[in-house]
Amino acid sequence: MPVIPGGRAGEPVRIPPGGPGGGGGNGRAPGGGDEEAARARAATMATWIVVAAVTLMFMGFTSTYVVRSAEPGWARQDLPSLLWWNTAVLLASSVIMEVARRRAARGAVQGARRALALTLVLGAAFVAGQVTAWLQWLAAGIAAAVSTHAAFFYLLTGTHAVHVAGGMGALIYGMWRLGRPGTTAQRAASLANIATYWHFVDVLWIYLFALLLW
Amino acid sequence: MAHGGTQAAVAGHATGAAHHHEPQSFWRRYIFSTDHKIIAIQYLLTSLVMAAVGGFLAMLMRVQLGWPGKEWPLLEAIMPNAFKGGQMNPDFYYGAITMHGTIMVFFFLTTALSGGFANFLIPLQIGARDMAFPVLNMLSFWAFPVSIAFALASFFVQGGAPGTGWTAYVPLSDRETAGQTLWLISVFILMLAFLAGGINYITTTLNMRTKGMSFSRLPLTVWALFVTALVGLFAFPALMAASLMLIFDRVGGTHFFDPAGGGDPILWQHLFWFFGHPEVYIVILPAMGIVSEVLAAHGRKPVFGYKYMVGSILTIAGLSFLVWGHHMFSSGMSPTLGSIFMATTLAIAIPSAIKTFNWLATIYRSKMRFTAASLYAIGFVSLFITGGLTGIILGNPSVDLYFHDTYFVVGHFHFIMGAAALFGVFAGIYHWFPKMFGRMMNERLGKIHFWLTFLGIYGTFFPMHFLGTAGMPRRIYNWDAYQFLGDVATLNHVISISAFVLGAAQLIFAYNLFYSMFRGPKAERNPWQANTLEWWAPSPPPHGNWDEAEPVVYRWPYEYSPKDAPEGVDHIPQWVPEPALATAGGDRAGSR
Repeated sequence: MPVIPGGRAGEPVRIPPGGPGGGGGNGRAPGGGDEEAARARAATMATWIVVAAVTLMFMGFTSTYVVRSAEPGWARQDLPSLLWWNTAVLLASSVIMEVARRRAARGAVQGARRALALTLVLGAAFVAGQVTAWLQWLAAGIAAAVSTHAAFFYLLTGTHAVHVAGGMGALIYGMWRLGRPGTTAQRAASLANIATYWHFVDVLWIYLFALLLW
Repeated sequence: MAHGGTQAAVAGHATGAAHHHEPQSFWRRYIFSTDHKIIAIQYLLTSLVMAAVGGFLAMLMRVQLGWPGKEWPLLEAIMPNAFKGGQMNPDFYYGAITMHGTIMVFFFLTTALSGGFANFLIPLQIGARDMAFPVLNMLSFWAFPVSIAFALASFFVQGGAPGTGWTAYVPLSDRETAGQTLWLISVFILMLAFLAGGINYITTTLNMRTKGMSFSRLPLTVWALFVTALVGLFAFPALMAASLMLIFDRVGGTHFFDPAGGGDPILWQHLFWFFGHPEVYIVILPAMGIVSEVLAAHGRKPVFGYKYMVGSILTIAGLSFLVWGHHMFSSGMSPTLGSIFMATTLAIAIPSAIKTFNWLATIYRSKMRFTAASLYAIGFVSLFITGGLTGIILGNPSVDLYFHDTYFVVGHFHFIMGAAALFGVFAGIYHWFPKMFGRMMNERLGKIHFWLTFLGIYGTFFPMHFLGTAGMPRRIYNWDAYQFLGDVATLNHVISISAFVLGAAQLIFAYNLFYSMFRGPKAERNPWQANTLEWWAPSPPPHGNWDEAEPVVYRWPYEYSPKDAPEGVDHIPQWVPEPALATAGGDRAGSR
């Protein structure tokens, strides 16, 4: 009976000789013993899939932006200066999120919770700042229908703000999750996924801001 | 066997109490269920209801196309707005075209295959207890009826359902009535639901496989459904982005696509078809997986060329993203780009041919049991060949310029994407019904259903190629207004009559389905003597699928008619260990 590596658990698993196409055996051990671990791995993977899907959607916007910006008559309007402040707020939120993640990894639950709450406040400030920027443009008479650049401004910032709001929902879940029974590793894994998403929306905003400035 | 003993493993017994507690309230158990099997049945039944709606719209369209100008007082009595004065209202006709395509592509085929079968089969066939995210799974299902509600609501707003076709080409879709906005919102929600489902399929397949279930032992259905989810992950965001921009154009006064404001309608086509062509494979790949499974199980023969089947699934999925331009050959594309898209389009014929030859090789000298499921699987191969060959013709830009937007295209895609995928759905339902509901369907009714459907489909869609060759445009309401189309009047009558036969045949299926669900004879645990893990579970499987422990996998899933097996053993299920096999002589391993 051959002994083959047992995959993620790192322990040898005895697998009887298989038929054609066999020879594997890197699945979970049966009995539900490591079902929790498998679900945790799945959660991390799901986070990255969400990141990939959102990236692809914004790639769709970007391709349209690039094509339209090369056409005659394209006029770029000056963006509201408030966006620079909003960028700084979002960057700061990412730093605090990282603090929360590291505290959770150390088992400092209360500290992690406080940092998450601060991240949430900064996220809300960012969204409020974006709404203020839209109002400033509208007050200046720059509605979405005025130019294609303006249309992209509202489309990109609006869609991004919705994703930030989704991230805020994840932050609230993270705060709730920290209070639930579980090991430090489980809490840390949960927060690591939220941090991945939060950093992603941060990087995405920097990209979109650069695109709109271009 | 780790739990349950050798004999139990061979016989497929599972002992002990269910691992997971089943919810007891009706609402949590059957409506807002997080059990992947209930969600699968919810998806499947909802999609079948939608197929009935989409099919009914097709019948109405065939009434008009078979006998344009004729008055139908009975239809006027039933639908006075659609048949004012006895004749079909042109606006309703174009709305019916749009909603028929939308419903059949999104709400039936995609949902039945990627919602119904993926949910039912992935956890069961990989030995998991449920999806990785059961609550997300439930939410993704419930977004589906919300999406349906938006789409169907378009019939009841001023102006009715949009008349742009399921492709919603700009600038027409920029100017259509309020129904178009509802359609776009519906599509956006549906894409979100499919993405949420896809997250579950991908993460479950990668993380929740039981011991021994390596990738080289995955059933081809799981391979196909897994790769389909990956294709969706890359394709759906393009349509979401496009539909969001078109919603902005329609309600926000922007001009992303509208040429009246400097927008570019071709951009819509690029984004739509970057999604739209992979969508063809999102529909057909799961059907391919189902057919492979059914042919092997009912033919008592291993799938021919398993590794090549997997390789061709992956190749088709990859190439599906490089061919979208062939839908736009007539949009003013440069000849060089047209040649590139032609090459990539024709390249798909290679993995498709590999799959076809492997199915034929699997059927060849098999001990085929001609059940309703296997008939539909064989029918799938026939339809796939017919539709595939006409696809090669259309993949050539110079030929496509003539056939573009004619009934030749309608015939082609109905064969490959509509009928072949439909046969995959039927093959899957007849095959897995005993596991889903714990009862058997009536085989005789199933075979009558098959033959009427098979003949109805060939009678409906094959002559459409001749209509296209004669120059009959698609999406035409009053073709009789054109003298040169007078010669194809008889063909249009034949097509309409065939379509009615096809439609009526589905009533037999509906009766068989619902009667068997409640009154069919009780199904054995493994009535087809199949090898994949779901047949180890009771019929229907309990909440949590497996009793005390998940099954362990010892071999690939297609060990049928094995040469070195003990006498009387014509198949060796994935869950049977070697020692159990040695004591199984005289019994059919895994059967009960």
